[in-house]
Amino acid sequence: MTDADNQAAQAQSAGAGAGSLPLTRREFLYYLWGSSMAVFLAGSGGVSIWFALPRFRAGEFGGVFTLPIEEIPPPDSGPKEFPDGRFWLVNIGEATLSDPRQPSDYPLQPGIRALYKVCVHLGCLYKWTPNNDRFECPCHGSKYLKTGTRIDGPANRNLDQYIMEVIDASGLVLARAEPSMDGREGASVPIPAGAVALRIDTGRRINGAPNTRAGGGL
Amino acid sequence: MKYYILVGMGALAGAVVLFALMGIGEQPRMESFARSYNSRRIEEGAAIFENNCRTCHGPQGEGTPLGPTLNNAAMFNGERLQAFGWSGTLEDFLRGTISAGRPVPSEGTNYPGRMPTWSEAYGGPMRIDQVESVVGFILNWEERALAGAEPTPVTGEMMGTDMHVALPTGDSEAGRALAEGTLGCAACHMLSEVGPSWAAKDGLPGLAVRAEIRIGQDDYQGEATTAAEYLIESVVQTNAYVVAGYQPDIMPPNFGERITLQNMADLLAYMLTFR
Amino acid sequence: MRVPIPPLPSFIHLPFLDDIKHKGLKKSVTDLADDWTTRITSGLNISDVRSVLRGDTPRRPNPRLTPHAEGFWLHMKPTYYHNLMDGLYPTFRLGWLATFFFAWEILTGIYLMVFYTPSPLVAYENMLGILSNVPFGRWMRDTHKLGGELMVIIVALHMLRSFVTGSYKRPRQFTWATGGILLIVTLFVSFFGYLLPWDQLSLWAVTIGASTAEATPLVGREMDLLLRGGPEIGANGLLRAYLLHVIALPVVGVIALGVHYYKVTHHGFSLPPEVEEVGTDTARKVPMEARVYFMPKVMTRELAYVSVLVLLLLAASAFSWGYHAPLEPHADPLVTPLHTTSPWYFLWIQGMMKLGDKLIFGAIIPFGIVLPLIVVWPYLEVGPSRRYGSRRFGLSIAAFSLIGTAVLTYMGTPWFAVETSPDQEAVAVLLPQTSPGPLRQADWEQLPYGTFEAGQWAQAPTRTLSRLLETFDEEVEKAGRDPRYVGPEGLMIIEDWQPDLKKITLRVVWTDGETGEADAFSQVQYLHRFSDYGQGE
Repeated sequence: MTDADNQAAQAQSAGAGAGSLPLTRREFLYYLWGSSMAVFLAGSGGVSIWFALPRFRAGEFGGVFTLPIEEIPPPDSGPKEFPDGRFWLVNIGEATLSDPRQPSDYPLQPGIRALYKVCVHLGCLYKWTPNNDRFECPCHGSKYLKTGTRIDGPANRNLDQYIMEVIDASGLVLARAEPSMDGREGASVPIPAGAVALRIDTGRRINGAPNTRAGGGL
Repeated sequence: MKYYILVGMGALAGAVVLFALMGIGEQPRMESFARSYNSRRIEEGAAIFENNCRTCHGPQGEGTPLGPTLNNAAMFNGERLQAFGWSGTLEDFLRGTISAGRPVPSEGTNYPGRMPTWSEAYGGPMRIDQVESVVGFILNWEERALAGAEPTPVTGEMMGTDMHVALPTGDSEAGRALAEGTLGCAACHMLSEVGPSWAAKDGLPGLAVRAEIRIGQDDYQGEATTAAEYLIESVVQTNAYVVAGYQPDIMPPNFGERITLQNMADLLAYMLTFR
Repeated sequence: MRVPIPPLPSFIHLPFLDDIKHKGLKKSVTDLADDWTTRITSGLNISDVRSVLRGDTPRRPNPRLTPHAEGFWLHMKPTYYHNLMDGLYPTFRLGWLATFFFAWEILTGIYLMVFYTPSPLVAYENMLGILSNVPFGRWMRDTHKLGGELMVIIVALHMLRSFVTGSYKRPRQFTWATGGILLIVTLFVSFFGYLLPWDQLSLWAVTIGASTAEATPLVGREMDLLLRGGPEIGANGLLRAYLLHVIALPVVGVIALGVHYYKVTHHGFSLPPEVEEVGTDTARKVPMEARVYFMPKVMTRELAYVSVLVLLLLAASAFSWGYHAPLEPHADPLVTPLHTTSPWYFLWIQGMMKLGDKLIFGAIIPFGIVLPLIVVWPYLEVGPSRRYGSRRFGLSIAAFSLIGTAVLTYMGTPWFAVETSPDQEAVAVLLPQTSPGPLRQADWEQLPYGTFEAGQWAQAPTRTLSRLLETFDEEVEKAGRDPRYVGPEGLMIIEDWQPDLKKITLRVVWTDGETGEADAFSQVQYLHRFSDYGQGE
C-alpha cells in the first residue's frame, strides 16, 4: 500500500465527508465517461422519440388538407362539413355578422373559418341545426353560432379553429388565420384575389376565446 | 485501467456523433426508399397485368373488343370518372373496379363478357397487395396518357388494317431498323421460333418467296392476291390466316394502329429482301 | 450555519428539519446525499464511490461487497474474479457477450414492435412503413437482425469454448445442460423471428423448417399443425410465430439464463486445467493475491465492452455500405422462388435432408440424437479431468462435428444438388429469384432499347449491356455442355413499356438434342428507373 493509499484509507475510515479527497485524474475521467453516458442516453432518448412520434401525411387527419377555392361555401350559407379533417368550413358574410345573437365581445371580420368539429366542453361532435341556425352539441347542450361563438351551455370558450392559409397558384401564402384577442380566438380569413386553394393544418389549432357568460360573452 | 475509461468514453461519444450523422440523412433516405418500393410495385403490377389483364385490355392498355382502354387521357383527366359518376379519387376507382370486378355491364357498353372479380376479399385470386400493384401500374400511364405521347415515335397517317391502301416508297434499311429495334419483330421471327422465320431455312425459301407459295395454298383463308398483300395482311390482320404449326392470338393484333403508312412501306421493303 | 426554523405543530415530524436544527444546513444536505447514495448503491456512500473511481484500496470492512450481498442488480455477480479468468482469454467473455446480445435484441425488438402488427394483411406494409416512414426505422431493423445473427454465432462459440476447456465437468454439468436449453431457445427465437417480415424469404425459409418438424414420428403432424396454426402458414402461423418470438421463448430464455448464470456464479469460472490437480475444483477458493475485484476493475471493463459494442453495432448498419437486412417481395404461398433457402444456422439440417429420408435425417438425427447428445454430454463423459490429454475422444468428436457441420451446411445451400434445367439456370444468373442480381442492379439509363444477341456482346451499344450479355453468353454456353441442349443462344429484348418502365425479356433458344426440335425458355422482368435494387436485399 502506498502512502497515498494509506492517507486515503485513513481519510475514509475517519468517516470524512465527500469533499475531503482531492480529485484524481482517474476519477475525473470516470466522471467524463459518466457524462458521455448521459449524453448518449439523452441522444438515444431523442432518437426514440423521433422514432416513435406519429407522422402525419397530407390529407390525413393531423396533417395538412388542401382545398380548392371552389369548395368554399357561399357567404352566409350553412357550414360545409369535412369529416376527414374533422372541421366545418364557414363563410362569414355581413348577414352573419349582424346576427342579433352574436355577443359584441368578439370583434369579427367577414371571411372563412375552419372550425374544429369537437365541442370545447368535453369532446363530443356538435351538429349543425338549420332550423335554429346554430351549432348544438348533443352531449350537454352547448350551443354556438355559425361564427363559432358560444351562446349557451356548459362550454367555457368559443369553438377552436385550425390554422388556415390561403395560397395562390404558385404556392405563395396570401392570407393566414392568426390568433387575435391577445393570442386567443383565431381571426376570419378573407379570400383575396388570385387565391387558388386553402391549406388547412389539422395538426395546429387556435383555441376559442373565453366565453362563460349566460347568452355568450366574457 | 485509464485506457478502458478513455475507450468507453470515445465509443459513446462516437455513438452520439453517429446519431447526428444518421439523423441528418434520414428524411432523404426515407423518401428515396418510399420511391424505390413504389417503383417495384409498378414492376410487379406490370407483370400481373401481362398475365391477367392483357387479353381483355390489350398489352399496353389500349383496349380490345373485350375490354375498355385504360391508358387514354379520359381516364386521367376526370372524364371517365365523371361518366361513371364516381366522386372519389382515380386510385380508389381503379382499386374498387379491379377488386370487385363488374358483375353488371357499365351503362352504354356492350362488352361480350364481364370483368371478373380479382381481390381475394371478394373471392378472387389476387392478394390485396397485388391489386395495389396493378393500380400503381395503371396510374403510371398518366404521364403519357395526358401528354398524348405514343411509345414508338410516329408521325404521319396510321396504317390501319386495309391491305389495299396505297403505300409510299419503302426503304428496306429503315424497315430493318424497325423490325430489329423499336417494334421488336426480330425477337419472334428471326431470333427464336415463336413465329415463322423470315430467312430461308430448313429447305423453305425466304419470306418473300414463301408468301407467293402461301397464297396459293388450299388452306389459305385470307384475301391477299400478291405476295406484298399477303405480307401486309399478316402484319395488320394477324388472325386472318395462321400458318399451320403456329398458334393464333400470339402476334400482337394492333400493329395497324401503331405504325404509319411509311413504317409499313419500309417493313414491306425489308421483308421482300428475304428470298 | 444555524437556520432559524419556525415551530411546527407537534404532529408534523420532519427528521430533515431536525437535522438542520442540530447539524446545520450544509452538513444536513451532505448527510442526506450520502444517505441516498448508500441506498441507491446498496452500501456505498459518496466517499466510497469516489474511492472506487479513484482506484484506492478499499477501507475495512470493505464496503464494495455490500452491493453484491444486499443489492438486487449485483446479487448474482461475483465480488471478485480469479486473475487468470478476468481478461479476454480464455473465455473471450463470450457468455457475457451472449447476454449483452440478448438484452440488445429485447431492446431493439421492443422498438420494432411499436410499428408492427402480425397479420399477413399488413405485416409487409408495416415493414415498408418501418423502412420508409419511420425515422431510424431501417437502422433499428438492421441492428436487430444483425444482433440476432451474431447472437447465434456467439452462443455457438461460447458452447465450443466451454467444451474445449472442459468446463462442463463435475460440478458444472447442470450449467452446461441449461446452456444447451439456451442454445435451443436462441436458435428458435431467431427462426420464428424470420417469419415476421412476411416476404418470400420469410415464408419459404420457415415453411421448410416447419415441414422438417412434420417428419417427427408419431407427433409430427400435430406438431406441424400446432406451429402453423393451419394447413399452411397463414394468419394463424404468423401470429403464433410472433407470440413465440416475442414472449414465449424469451420468457423461457430468461428463466434458463437466470438458472444458468446463477450456477456459473455459484461454482465460479473453472480455472485452466493445468493450474489445478485433476479432479479438484478450486474456482471458489481464490487466494487473496489472485483476486480481481468487480469494483472497479471488472466493472470498468464490462462498461467499456458495452460502450464499444454499442458503437460497433450501431456503426455496422449505419451507412449505405453497412449491413442491411433484406426485404424481398411480398410472401406468395403459390410460388416458391428458385434457390430458396433456410436460415444459415439450419442449413446443416437441410444438408442432412438431402442425404436421405426426411424422418431419419430431418427429425431423428438432429433433434433426436445430436441436440440431446449435446445437452447430456457431461453426464456421459464423466472422467474428472479437464485436461486436453485426457479428453482426446471427446475433443475429436467435437472436431469431427465441426467439420461435419461445415460440410453439411455447404450441402444445405441451394447450389448443392438442387438444380433446375440449364436454360433456367442460365437466366437465373442474371435474374436470380432470391436476390436482385446483376440485371436489376444495372444502370437503368444504360440499357438501350432493342433486341440483342448474347453472342454479340462485344458489339453492344453500352458497356453495361455488354457486360450483362457477356455473362449471359457464358452461362448459355455452359448450358450447351448438356447433350440435350444443342447450339443454345441467348437473347435480351429491351422495350419501352411505360414512362420510366422498361420491359426486359431474357430468352434462351436451343435445339433439343433428342428430338431435334427447337425449344425456348424466356423470363420477363419489368424494370423501373427508380426501383434502386441493391439496398441489401
